[in-house]
Amino acid sequence: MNRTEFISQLKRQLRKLPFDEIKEAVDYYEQYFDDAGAENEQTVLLELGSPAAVASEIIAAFAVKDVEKKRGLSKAWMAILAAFASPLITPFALVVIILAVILVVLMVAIVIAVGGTGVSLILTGIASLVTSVPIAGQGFPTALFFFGLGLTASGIGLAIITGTVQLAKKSFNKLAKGMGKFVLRRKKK
Amino acid sequence: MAFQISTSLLDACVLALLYREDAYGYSLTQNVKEIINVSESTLYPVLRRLQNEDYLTVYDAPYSGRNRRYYKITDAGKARLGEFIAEWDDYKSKVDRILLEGRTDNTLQTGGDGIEQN
Repeated sequence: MNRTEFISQLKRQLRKLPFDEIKEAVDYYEQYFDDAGAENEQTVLLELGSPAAVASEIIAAFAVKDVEKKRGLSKAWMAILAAFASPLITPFALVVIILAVILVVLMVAIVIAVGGTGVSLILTGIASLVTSVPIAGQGFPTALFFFGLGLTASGIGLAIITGTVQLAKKSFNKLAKGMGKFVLRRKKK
Repeated sequence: MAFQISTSLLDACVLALLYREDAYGYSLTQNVKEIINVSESTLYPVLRRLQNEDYLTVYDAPYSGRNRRYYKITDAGKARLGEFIAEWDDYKSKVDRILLEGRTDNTLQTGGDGIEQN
């Protein structure tokens, strides 16, 4: 491997990072080779190690920084609370906050309704399963029918509940983040 | 060296070197390598992180027809270095208390220089 190959491999390994970050790193290693001098190129290559390893260290350092910046959710709630506590709530902000509260209430209602359907499906399923046992003596096909019906109903119920929970979590986070951004932007003005 | 160098010790050494004078990547790496056995690639992520934490800034200066990026310690970096030095003093005296307790014991091979001169 030579210097040019090292740099181009490094670039490829870093391609997921923002453009500035890649340029910064590539410039650093280009200069590093320049300062070491052409006669030391092989030594430097040897000591630097594989471009992949170098890249993963850079990405790791970048990721740490990224995580620090993304402690978003709690900050968003803090911002909303701060907006409530502030004595100078503009009518506009007030409308937005009320809207957000209504949205949250709506979301909770939907979750309860859909989740309730899921729960009742599961209950029906269990009931159906239970009934299938005593009637097995009277007619085996009928019992089997109820057994299958029970399993199907509980399955659909479970799926609905998990889906609802996931969806609720996601939309809740989105809403909180959006609100946080909005409030922070208003405060800066 | 037998001892593992922690990230913060590396940070502290880099800040201390930059406190003496501004430096560019290659020269800084050579200086750090004199005291710590870091691989040449380790320093860039460290510098980048210190830069993101506002402990150092960069500027470009022309050198033989090209740009050379220099690293310069900030006031925040100097303050951090001060903290590092205080913590290092504390840590060093604690380690000394344990490690060097038996240094007068002649059964201990101390490798000659250094310890006996204390």
